[in-house]
Amino acid sequence: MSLLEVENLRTYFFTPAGIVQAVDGVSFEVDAGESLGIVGESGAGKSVAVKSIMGLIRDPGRIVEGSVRFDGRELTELSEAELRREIRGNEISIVFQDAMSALNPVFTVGSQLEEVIVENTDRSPSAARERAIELLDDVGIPNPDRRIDEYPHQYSGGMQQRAMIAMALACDPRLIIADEPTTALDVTIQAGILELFDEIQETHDTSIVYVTHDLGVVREVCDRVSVMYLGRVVESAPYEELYRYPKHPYTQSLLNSVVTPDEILDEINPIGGTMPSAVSPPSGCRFRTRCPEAVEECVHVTPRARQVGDSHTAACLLYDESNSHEEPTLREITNQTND
Amino acid sequence: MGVEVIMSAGSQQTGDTADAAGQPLLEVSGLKKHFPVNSGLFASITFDRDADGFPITRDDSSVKAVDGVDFALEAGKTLGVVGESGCGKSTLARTILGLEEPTAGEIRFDGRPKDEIPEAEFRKRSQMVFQDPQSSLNGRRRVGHIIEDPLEGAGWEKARRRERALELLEQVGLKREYYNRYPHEFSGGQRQRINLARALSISPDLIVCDEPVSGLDVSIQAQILNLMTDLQAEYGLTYLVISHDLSVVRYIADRVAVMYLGEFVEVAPTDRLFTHQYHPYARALLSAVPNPDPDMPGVSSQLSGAVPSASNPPRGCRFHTRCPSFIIPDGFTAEAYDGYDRLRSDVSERSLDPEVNDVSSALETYVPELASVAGDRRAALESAVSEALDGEWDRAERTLESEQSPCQAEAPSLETAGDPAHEAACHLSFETPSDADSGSTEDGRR
Ligand code: SF4
Ligand code: SF4
Repeated sequence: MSLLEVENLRTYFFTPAGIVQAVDGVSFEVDAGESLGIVGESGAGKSVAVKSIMGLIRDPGRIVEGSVRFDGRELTELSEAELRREIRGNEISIVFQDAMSALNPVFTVGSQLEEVIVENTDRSPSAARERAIELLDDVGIPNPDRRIDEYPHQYSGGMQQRAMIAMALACDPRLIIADEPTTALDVTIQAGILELFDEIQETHDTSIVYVTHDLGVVREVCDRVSVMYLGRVVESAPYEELYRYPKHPYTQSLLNSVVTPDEILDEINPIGGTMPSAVSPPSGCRFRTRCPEAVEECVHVTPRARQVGDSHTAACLLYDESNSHEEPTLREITNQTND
Repeated sequence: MGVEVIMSAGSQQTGDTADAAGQPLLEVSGLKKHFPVNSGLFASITFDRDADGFPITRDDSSVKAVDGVDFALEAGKTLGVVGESGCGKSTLARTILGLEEPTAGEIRFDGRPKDEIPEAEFRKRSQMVFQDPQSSLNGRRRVGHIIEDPLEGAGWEKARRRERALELLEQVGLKREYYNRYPHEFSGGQRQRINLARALSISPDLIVCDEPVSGLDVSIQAQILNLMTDLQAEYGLTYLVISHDLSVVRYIADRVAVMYLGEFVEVAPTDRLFTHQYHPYARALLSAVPNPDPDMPGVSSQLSGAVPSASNPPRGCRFHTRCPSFIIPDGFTAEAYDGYDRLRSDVSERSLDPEVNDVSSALETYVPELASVAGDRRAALESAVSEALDGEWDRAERTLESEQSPCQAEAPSLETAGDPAHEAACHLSFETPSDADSGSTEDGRR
């Protein structure tokens, strides 16, 4: 049994402009000690999906269907009070993009950390302070015994992010959800945070769900990856498998759009057009309005996730037949010629 | 770059069009932009009893956002300036376009000092594209009118303006029907297309783009970068592209300058810069960019510490406080040099550690590794300490100064590195990038 099992999750927002089908039938699993990347462009629904896990969806949003099982326990049936007492910041913690939204500016970093520790463990206040210093040290804050008494604004952006990660670790969670935690940081600072996530996973054996738009970041932190497009997971695989053998046309074009400092490309080949609105998404396959391989059937049939390789699934009608296509994909070809 | 192929076109054309390729359209030398730390008259005045004469002094320290930048940008080419937040790259862009008054230095445009170019002409020939198209477009105005703005400024009449705007909408990949719509009806990528159309409307020679694709999704970024390249080819545009994203710069620029704390630390043709970085900062920056390709090296975080304040940049090489290749002078170990450095900073503040009462306790306190220090260095440390204990602070300071690392002693200037078109500002020697027997000249990251 996986630690986290999300099945057929639908989270909609009931707005005056219509029903935003932000997450529409999403499934994924995370094993203990595993890190899963959820990658997609803005509007893909990745952030809504992970907030749904934590019960953090607020009006006018609502989980309309599906199940979220954590360690066998159905989270969608828990009350807000139960979630707060038993799950959030306890079994599961979340790290956001904006550290200042999670840190209270009027209390020292130390007092906030100590509060979480006292609340969630049976440590005494003085032991909590010791633990807090230890945590700050773990996340790479220099001179933690001095800096513990500073206020969040006295920390640099990268240090605030580290302090928030220390908060997330304070209760020894089994799962950390990281929602674009480095997007606002400079790359040299980001590099340190990514290394920190790797370390956390190794030393604490914590599971991680890491939401990002950056495949390079996924590669650094995650074992597996699920690619989302317009509220749905279109492809899931171990990261290297996905990079080398992307099957879904969206994943293929996503990989073809990425510019990196290491490759010399004459022309990048971006996907044309933009993501349609989640209020009136295309019928059938949601990617069909931009898909270079779309056929008539894609208008009517909603593709389901199919096995396309070792622990590799894709939701595309191209693979929805018993003998799936064996010829190399676009990306496989570019990979070979690109060396 | 040499004086190649200066075709007759350059001298014959009127001032209206850019010169032939190979001629700089934009030349910047010694450019500085400092901002006062304390703005306002009263905030900057402090009462100082010890001052000579009048007991009031002005705090004239300033943020040195751009602090001595030189470059030449050929017509039809793209210079990319990369750096992290606070390095001064946006101020550089704004200063070049005249949105900020330079503190020092010269800007020449198409061979003439910018000061001598009538403002109307300069505005017509240079345009800026900002990062956030949402906030840089007035939401209450129709996009057609927004695109026409520069034309209106230049006195075009209405019908002609409209015709041009419709044409431009098509050229940037939008539809003519969008003329009457409002910015909020468009996605981020489309708004950046509108911005480009506006910038292009008046057929400028130079377009300065500040983070042109930042905040856009990757597939949209790619579309905009392709559009920029196509437009450049079609109109012979010259771009100055400011970005924090090395990938963007690699894709679009012919030459790249890496900026740190107000200065260019490395400048090279794009392909060279991405294969051979000489400056340790450029190298660290590049190795911090995550690459999705599992066959390429992963990120490594080589820099510790925060970027120092631009109002009080480190002496010598500005990068020395974070440099992983900092040059330890012969005769010191790294630990002993740290001790030396602590001693030196206390001496410059005129107060030794309170534990210290004689020469040997001082040396023990600051440089416990003294035994590892070479004889003449040790002698210098001893005399500096005894001078400091005698209250001869200035002498002690001078004694210590002569032992310091070149990285702290002197600011390195941009020098040719490995290739005539490649420059780096660092005291390490850069004969050839893979010169094996000099430990200080490691190759780039691979
Ligand atoms: S189902 Fe059809 S439209 Fe969707 S990705 Fe596959 S081929 Fe393209
Ligand atoms: S001059 Fe010294 S401190 Fe500066 S970059 Fe070179 S090695 Fe590093």
